[in-house]
Amino acid sequence: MSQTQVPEPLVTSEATHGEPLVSVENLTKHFPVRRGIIFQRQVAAVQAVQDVTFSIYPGETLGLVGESGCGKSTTARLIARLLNPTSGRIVFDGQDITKLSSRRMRPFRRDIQMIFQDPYASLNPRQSVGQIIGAPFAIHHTEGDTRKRVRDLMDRVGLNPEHYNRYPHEFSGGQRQRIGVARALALRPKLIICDEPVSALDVSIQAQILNLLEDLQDEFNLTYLFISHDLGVVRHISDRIAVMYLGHLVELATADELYERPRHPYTAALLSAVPKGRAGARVTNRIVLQGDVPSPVNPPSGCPFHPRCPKARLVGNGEVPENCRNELPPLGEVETNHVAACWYPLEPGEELERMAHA
Amino acid sequence: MGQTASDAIVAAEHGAVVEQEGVRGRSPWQLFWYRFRQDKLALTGLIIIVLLGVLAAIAPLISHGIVHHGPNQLFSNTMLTQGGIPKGPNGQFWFGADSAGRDLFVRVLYGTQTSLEVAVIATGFAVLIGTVIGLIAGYFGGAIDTLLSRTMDVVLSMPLLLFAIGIVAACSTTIQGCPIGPLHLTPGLPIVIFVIALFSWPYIGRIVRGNTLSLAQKEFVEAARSLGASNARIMFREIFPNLVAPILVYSSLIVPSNIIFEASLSYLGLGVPQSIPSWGRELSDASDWFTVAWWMLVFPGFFLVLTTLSFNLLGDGLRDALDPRTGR
Repeated sequence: MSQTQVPEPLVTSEATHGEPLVSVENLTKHFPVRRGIIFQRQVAAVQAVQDVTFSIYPGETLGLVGESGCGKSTTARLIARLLNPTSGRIVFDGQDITKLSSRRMRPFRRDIQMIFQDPYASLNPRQSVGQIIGAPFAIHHTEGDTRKRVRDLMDRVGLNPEHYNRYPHEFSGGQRQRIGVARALALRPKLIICDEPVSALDVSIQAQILNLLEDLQDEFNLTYLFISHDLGVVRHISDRIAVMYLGHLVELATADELYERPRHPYTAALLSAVPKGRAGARVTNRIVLQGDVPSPVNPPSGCPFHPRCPKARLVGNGEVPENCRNELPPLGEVETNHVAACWYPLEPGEELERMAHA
Repeated sequence: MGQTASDAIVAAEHGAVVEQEGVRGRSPWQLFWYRFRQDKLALTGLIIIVLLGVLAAIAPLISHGIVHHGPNQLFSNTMLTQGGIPKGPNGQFWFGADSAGRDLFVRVLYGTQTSLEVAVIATGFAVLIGTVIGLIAGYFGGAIDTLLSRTMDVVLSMPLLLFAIGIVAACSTTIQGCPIGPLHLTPGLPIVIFVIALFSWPYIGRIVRGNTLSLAQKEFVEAARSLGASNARIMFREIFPNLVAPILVYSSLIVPSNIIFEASLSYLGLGVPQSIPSWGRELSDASDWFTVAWWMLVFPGFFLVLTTLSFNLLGDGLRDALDPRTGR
């Protein structure tokens, strides 16, 4: 089942240099499905993340996209060690953190922080802003004037430091997300995992938060793993983008390359679904995928995308080819700096729209 | 401040930002107090409870300083007829006399002390045990949760009064009572408080467990964990503050049922000893006499109803004020 190891670096951009800050190797997470009241037995497993390998380089932003339930948030939580992987390795800053106990993990917690999707759920309603942003200092027993540091942080993320004693319910969604950013920034981490940080916000507010994240990245030399299902947002902020489908990493390329020349049929379908905002934009036929995302409890054999893949049907003249049905395509280099897991990757410029109806 | 304050509340409740000058930030507790004050019934309940508390506290002062009767002082000559029937209320004996010729007013006054003491202390223990066990069960889940939750189910499934009677009776045979580990359950108040706490903690435990289960899934708990917070910190600093509201509501609703519980035990002659006045015992006494001495039934009964009603009103008001989303 193990994928062919693609030589490092997998895909580079101007932002990737030096040793990777984080590498995940063959990362897999299965959630057991149990039955029974007292004597529980495992009847199945939700295969949330399946054999995912990628690296994040210092100072870059790696975007991670895919539809709901494709395992992107699980991947984030695995890297933050909020979940324990079923198998695979996570290497952070040269050290294997896959199996560290929570005590041994503590020093790394300072370097890996998270920004959460829902700014209403991610802040404790019973704590004041000062307590929330000050929590990282309290937990790690840092020396110095916590109050002043919190005020500085609030100022830096665009909050009024005088609101130190206010409670989360007194802030708008955008301001709450700024509180979340300040908390993530408090310990000057190396990596910030942004789990759909703007998905719950108004479009007008999204841009403000994205700009804030970009400014902070420049100022503090932060590395981001940026998760989103909003392709426009991801393209704007990312240096490289990874695409996930049903727990598998299906394509990884630099942002522009991926958007201009998607090679995996799934990526192409995903991109064709982005509404074109320009007046007079070329009216494109969307690739409408047939059927639903298969259940991760019982994923399809072979390529996870084969039951819905328009390209596979085209190649096999209406029938899905043998190797798509039976063999998992490895993540292979389709050209320099561009990898995709597909037996029949699209050629640059190949139009899939019509194929969908072929 | 009046108008501005209500504006701030409205704005805050809609999640809007309050940015105007002169509007102060409000903690969740300030918001709670603002809403609670609007509920006249609950406020009445609170005032009555406070008054009863004060009455109980100054019972010795009233009995010795104003009416000059002790709780166990017998007035067989003045307050009992030739045939031994107690006499009704008069200027000296406001609530009349009981079957032994004691001042019923003083008895009822001291009964307030007993009832509140037993109910509040027993509820306190129940809340303490229930909160800790519920938090542990809900937070850790798995086998620990199964074990603790089933224990709660077992306790709740026991025929309460039967077990209570059994335990109290068994532990009241000797003066030493039942020494259970560090607990010395001597007959009288300690054993009554123990029994009541024993049968009421699972109510709090279940509520706390259920709330903890949902709170533990919240992103702010995940955020705390990603910061490296310990389990103890997450349980007591992140989750517990969110449990205070439901705990407060349910304990204020358990207090009246514990008052009734104590009264029931005393009514059956198993509660507090004879020398300590108790509403339950007064009522039990009255059951033989109320056809000729209505006051013996009415006064202790009225106080019992008043107290439990006040606590129930307070509990309802607390629930409405603490969680405005649940309608009546």
